[in-house]
Amino acid sequence: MGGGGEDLTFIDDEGKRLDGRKPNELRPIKMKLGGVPNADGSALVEWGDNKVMAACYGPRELHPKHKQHPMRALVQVTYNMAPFSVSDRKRPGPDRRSQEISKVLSEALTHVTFVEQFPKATIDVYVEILQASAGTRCVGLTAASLAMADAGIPMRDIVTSVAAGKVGGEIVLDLSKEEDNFGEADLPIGMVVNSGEVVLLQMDGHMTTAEFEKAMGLIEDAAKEIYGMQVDAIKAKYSEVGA
Amino acid sequence: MSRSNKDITVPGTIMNPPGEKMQAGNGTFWNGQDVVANIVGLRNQRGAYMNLIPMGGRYVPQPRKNDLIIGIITDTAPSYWTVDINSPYTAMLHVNDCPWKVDFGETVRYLNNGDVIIAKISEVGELRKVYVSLKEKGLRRLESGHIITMSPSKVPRVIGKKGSMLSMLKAYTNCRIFVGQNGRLWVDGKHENILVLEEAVNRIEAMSHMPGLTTEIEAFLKSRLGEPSGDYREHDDRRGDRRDDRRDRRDDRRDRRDERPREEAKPEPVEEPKEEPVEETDEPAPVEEPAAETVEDTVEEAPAEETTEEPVISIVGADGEPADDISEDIKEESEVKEVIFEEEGD
Repeated sequence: MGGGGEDLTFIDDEGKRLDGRKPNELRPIKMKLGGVPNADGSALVEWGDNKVMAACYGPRELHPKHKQHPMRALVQVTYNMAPFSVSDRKRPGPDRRSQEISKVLSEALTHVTFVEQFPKATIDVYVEILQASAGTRCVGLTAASLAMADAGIPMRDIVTSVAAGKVGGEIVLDLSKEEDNFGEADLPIGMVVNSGEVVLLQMDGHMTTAEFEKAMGLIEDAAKEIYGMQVDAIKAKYSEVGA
Repeated sequence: MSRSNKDITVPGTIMNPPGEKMQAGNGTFWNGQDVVANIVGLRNQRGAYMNLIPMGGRYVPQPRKNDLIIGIITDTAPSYWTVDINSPYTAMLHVNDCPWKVDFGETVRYLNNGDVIIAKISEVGELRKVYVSLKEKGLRRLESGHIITMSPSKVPRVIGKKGSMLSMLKAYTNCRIFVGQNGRLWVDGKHENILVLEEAVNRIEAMSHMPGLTTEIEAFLKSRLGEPSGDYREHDDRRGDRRDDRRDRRDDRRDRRDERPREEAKPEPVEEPKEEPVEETDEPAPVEEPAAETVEDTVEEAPAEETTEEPVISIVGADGEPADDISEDIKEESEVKEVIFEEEGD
């Protein structure tokens, strides 16, 4: 929509994108477990220019008591963007957008968690966006599931998340800031790689069915790659020699 | 047994070799085709069962598994106390489960907010309603010492195989140690030694998955504290220490009795009745050891982990003490028995 992006050429003659990536190429990703000693589990994920810290507390007692579910635990995610995470200061505090993201992340993570093992309890996950540059909910979900695994929460599997989109008429993987702002569609997906289940699906913009299928294909391949990085990050925590 | 990080599992890892049937044990689940890991843990196969040793996670009391834990009183009510057991669920201690005869509404005379107790999980309900009990020997209110908090999943590492790590820690630091299954350690001894002990526990936590943990910790203790007095691997040599322990505690108790402000005209509740066994311990030590070596207080049947067959907690020794040395203990114990008997008569 409008703005300065209308005359942008998203894909050049060589098929390269604005930041030099190929259409099916991810931004560089770095994951590390730990970082919040007070939490039961935590993870830091750097993904392109995104920087996201996730911390998991629990299972612990849920208050207020009326929120307790007698048969299962709640997975409560709090997604929060730091005021300094974007170039225009973000007004601190929960807003409509972050509440929505908190909700969809909670639902995605609840799906893989053995919530029946902890009746009446809560598992709190805090997703802090330290630096934002398109696709923070995907980075947040990836980090959150790492933090939960680190906290020793029993889960069916780890959730992996990545977005695809449509820019300049082409389907590309893992939109960058400009592509997200000025592109035609954005499709963030949260997946359970081993089973192929989709636990988060949102879409902004329009795509044809064929385009959607193509985007999902890109996402599935990329998710496998990211899943591998998540597994490596968890194992890396226990391979360091010495204390 | 040496382990590498290849044995580390991640939630979602298929644990059984392709085509082979296995039973889902701790830390795994059956997804209809395979046994799949549900936590980050270490692979630990036991016959047909695939178990995982967890690398983290909170303490959750299990039904029918009467863990000994260290709890902190957080609230008092007319006929029960609320106890924080370092778990997602708080526990309750009913006056009928304590060794004192507590009148209705008089709970604060015996235990108050912030008091620390060694207790036993006596019941875990369907909805995780947890009850703890103090009605057993060794269970009591803690009067002195220091609490070290650690990850509950690493507790078996602090105890070690047949209590080896624990007795090593005791021998080097000369501290009295009680390990609660809920990740709280009670230690009492010289301050310097407690600090070293705390660091040792932190190290055990950080390196729990590494091979050669005991050697590493022993080297650390040696570098800080020098050689222990006597060989801790031989229980006989610890008898002297135990006698010291007992004397210490008796002195403690005497001091406390002198400055006890709490109960005014009340018949004195037996504050610390549960002196360690004067008779035989009820659960004999592992077969490998001669019967005379009865380890003090057997705590739990270890979860399915080969490193912790017989986690053993000891506060005090058992046998062969001169009679006058323990006569007071005996007296106190018989008092307790009377109280219990009275209550049962009600």
